[in-house]
Amino acid sequence: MHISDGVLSPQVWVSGYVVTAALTAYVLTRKTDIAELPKVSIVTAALFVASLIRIPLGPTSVHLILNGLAGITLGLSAFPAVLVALILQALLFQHGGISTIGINAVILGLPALAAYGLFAAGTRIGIRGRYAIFGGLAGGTAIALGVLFFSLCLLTTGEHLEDVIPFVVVAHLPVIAIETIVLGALAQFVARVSPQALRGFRPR
Amino acid sequence: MEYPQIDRYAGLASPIHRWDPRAKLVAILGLIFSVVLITDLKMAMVGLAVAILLVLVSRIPFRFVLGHLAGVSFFILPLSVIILFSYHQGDEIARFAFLTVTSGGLEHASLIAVRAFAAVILIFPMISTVRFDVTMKALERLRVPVRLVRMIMFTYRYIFVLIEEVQRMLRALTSRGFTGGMNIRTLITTGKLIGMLFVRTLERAERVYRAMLSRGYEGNLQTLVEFKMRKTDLLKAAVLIAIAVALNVL
Amino acid sequence: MREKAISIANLSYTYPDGTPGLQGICVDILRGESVGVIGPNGAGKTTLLLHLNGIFVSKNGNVEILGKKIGKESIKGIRRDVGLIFQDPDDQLFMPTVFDDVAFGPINMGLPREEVIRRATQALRWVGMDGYEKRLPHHLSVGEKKRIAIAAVLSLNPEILVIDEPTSNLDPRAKWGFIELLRGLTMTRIIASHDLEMVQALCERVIILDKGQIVADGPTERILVDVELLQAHGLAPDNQAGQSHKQH
Repeated sequence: MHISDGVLSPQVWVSGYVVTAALTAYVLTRKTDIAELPKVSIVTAALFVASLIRIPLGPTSVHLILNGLAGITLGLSAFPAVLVALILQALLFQHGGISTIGINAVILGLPALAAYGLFAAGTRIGIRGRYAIFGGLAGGTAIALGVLFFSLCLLTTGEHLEDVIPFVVVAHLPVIAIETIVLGALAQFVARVSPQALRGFRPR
Repeated sequence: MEYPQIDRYAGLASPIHRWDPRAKLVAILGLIFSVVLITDLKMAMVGLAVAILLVLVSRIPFRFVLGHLAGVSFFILPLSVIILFSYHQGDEIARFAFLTVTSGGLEHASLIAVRAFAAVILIFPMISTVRFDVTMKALERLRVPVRLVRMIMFTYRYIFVLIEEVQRMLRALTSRGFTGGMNIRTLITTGKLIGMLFVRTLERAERVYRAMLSRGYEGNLQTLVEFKMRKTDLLKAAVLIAIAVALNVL
Repeated sequence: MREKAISIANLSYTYPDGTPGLQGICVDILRGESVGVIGPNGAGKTTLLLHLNGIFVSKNGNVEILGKKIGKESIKGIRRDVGLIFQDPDDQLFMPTVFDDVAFGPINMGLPREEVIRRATQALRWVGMDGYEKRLPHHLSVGEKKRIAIAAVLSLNPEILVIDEPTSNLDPRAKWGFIELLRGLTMTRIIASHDLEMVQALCERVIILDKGQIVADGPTERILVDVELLQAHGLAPDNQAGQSHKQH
């Protein structure tokens, strides 16, 4: 889920850069110390690599997006992590989108932060299977919110892209389901084998 | 799972390869931003032609470029088709059953697709003509915030290590009969696999940090690089910036 | 008597989760000695090594390096004096290029540019990897990465080398080449491994660590022939002695 160059109006992608720059600067300078920077980067590499895994879907296959996982594992640092992953994707794999790096980081990164909040709050509730439930919810919500932001961008950009929105939504319904299940299984597994890992290094 | 190999042609010799990476980054980024701002189809075509010309000058094989356009095509082609049939303005020029195409729709769909492809193709002369580690150092010299560049640098380094790790894990799964069919089991297994990757990566991150500490890390991650800006570097940049401006002004 | 390079008096360590890591370790290592630390998996070898340049700092134990106690003021000097080489070279080669990695330590010491370049070049020559400056770590073999990991520490001119599992994942040829390389280094060396073949080739003294405690300490030729002792600590198969365990 990301928007390539040449589609959005300048107002939209410039705003994306403004929000991204502000949030990244805040997290990287105020919320990250010298010990966390290399560690967050290495986890970002793991997220990047995991998103290269293909999941079969009908006649084709899809990549995982895993912005929810970024939120669960990195907390606030999920935002710069998503940004770095997008920069590397644009430069290394040409998924397109130099001018849209900022807005794409907003589309995927804000939901990652929401997933973090949801997971952190939910797993405090002492019910059985809370990791699976809230891991799954965080994963699905992160994609759903991403689709919402994506659609809002298409809607506000004024380039006659409204009619694309239904297609985007429908195309992402299976992805929401897939990420819900994958992240549910993942969170439960990690909670069992290495519970402290889920408290990883979310900055203070 | 593919390794990033964007810089596999960095060893070729061409005027673009010889160009100072800092000047090259600034000039081609300028061109990319200029291309996405174009509102006139003919100018967008000129932009696309400039992009292709730069690839030709750089001697990067064109099939390498085409091979890397799958990702963007996957997004842009359906999008253009939808616009083609849904945006109605000007004369009707074609009709398929209940779908109509207008001249305005055709022009708008083409404009978006041409801008998108021109922008992506420009990444090749910019990134593929220099080793990626040099690109990162050039970004730092261009005053991109240093913490962001560090993150990119570490992430890039460990992508290769972790791709190998995931491949080993996938092989182990396959040898135990995992087929990866389209079912819930595949998703749950994938979740556990990524979970395992994450747990191991946290441990690795801790070990890497210890290795950094034991060699005196205190937050400084300087590297020694020498870039030399010559007159020809600036001249090349000036030409491209002039083109970038012209694309939007003329 | 030779000067002490490392002096450890009653060092204990408990992991954050409460499991004991090291218990009452007392050992002196003299300058120029080459000491093998052997023991089964989980014996505490790596934990002990991490105390030698202050990655782990224990509250109740005294670790002295070249006569200096490890503490806030001494830590920088101690990290320069003690070169720590990790088991997985991918953990240690974190910079974009071979040169950047070997230069990382000297740059952090604040050395001037020319000196950084001189030291990095020299360190790469010592390990037979000159000409690899611009190579990328992900294009190297395990053996090459291990050599560069050594160079990355040698560029700091350490007095003491501490090496964790130097021969793991190396094929026999790479392994013996690597052993030759280590033999050529003259500083104090502490090598943790369960590769007894290598320990025999490189070390004059062997310490056996098991369950966080030192259970034996003596000359290599005495320890490595004591089959019962080795068997008792999982370092030799129960029916046959002297064979090194293959481990991953």
